[in-house]
Amino acid sequence: MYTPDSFVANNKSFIELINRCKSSLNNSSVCQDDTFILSNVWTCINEQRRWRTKSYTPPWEPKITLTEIEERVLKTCKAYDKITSEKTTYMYTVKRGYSLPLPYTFEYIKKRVILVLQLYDKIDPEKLTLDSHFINDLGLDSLDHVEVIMAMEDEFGFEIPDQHAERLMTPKDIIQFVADREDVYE
Amino acid sequence: MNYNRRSVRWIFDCSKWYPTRQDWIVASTSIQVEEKERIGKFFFKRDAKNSMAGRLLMRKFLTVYSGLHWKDIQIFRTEHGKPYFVNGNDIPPLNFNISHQGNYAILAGEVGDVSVGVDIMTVEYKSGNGLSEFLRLMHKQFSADEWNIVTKKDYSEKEICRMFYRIWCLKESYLKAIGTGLTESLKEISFNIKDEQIQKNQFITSTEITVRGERLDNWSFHEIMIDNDTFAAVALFPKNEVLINKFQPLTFEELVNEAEEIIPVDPVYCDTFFNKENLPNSK
Repeated sequence: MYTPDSFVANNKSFIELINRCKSSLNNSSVCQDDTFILSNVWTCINEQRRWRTKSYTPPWEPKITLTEIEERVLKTCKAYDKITSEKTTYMYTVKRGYSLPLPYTFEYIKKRVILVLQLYDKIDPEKLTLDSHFINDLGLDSLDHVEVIMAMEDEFGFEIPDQHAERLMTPKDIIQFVADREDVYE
Repeated sequence: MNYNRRSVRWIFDCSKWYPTRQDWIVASTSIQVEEKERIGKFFFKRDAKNSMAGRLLMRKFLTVYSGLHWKDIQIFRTEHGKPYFVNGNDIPPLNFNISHQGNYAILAGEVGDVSVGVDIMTVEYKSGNGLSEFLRLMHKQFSADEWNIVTKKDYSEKEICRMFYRIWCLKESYLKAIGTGLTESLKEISFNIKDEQIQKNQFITSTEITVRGERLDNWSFHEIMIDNDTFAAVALFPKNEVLINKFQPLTFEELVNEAEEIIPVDPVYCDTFFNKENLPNSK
């Protein structure tokens, strides 16, 4: 459902993971290509997700840990090093660690919310506007609405309490909610 | 005051209702103006018809059992959007709730001091990755015990979907009976299904509810199958004798039998309705 291009690290453990990968790769002359690292982390997380849902039974705990993800990513990156070591143009080391998460902007939140909704098979992307009401305009029912909210929780990595979720009836409502939570202003 | 305890269960098949212009005029002039406007906002005909049928069901119930005229019935909404009727002095206590989804609109009404909530859901079958992804997304909505019921060992994907929807329907009926929206996480509300098979010809009443670890003995849940893929659940508090054993289908004529015009005819409103698309297209 998601491609590495559409994915950008957002929650704190992800950022930490990427930082750790980068700093441990610092000492080897490996390609510090952000996209590459992100796409590898993403593949690992996706696999973790798929693995989590292989059986239908709870508990819904991840079957592999962050440490394992880190090891697998590092291994993949190091393997990459063997291929790119001849390509000197790519060799550089990172001088500073990234300690802050990537900055959220209103536009960025909007793009991601719209993407999640466009990928939802019950929503016609052609009908989707920022003000489309999920129930009145898009023909979703209450269970579909819950599904949309859950997909947003997944996307942004935080829980949306049910009392708030009930009031998020348009894409604009969701964007505003995420923006408020992340202290982002238009 | 003295009154006879009654239970009312009505169902209207909206998918078989192809309203004529006259039908829509009758319907849209027999409801409160703010509801007419709300219904006018739906994009799809199906949703407008469902919602309209819901309003007509409510008014019919209140008219028939209050003894008041249709046009004198005033229905309010709580701050959470739940419709309610203010019981008057010479009127028996009337409680009701409606639900609509897919092809049907239903009403569960009680003459008596019984809180009622109702929900109807048509199962949407999912399979493979689609199903596991759906269940994963929904994991917070159900308790661990409920997940054990839904994902029972020998269940096929179809049976998993059916049980999921059945429990979802029960949860919604409870929340609608309470009427105050979600004050706690849905997984604190746990249903225990005792009768695996649900029937078409009468309600089963064995399902129990536990909220935050405590069994609520005084609530009863009546479940029934409307068609092969559609479930309905009625939540009742306090527990009372079962006075009715299924939903009674109504025709449009029966639905508007007591109707009276309460707002003026709006021809533009009717034209707009007929120009709407019927259903959302699935991708």
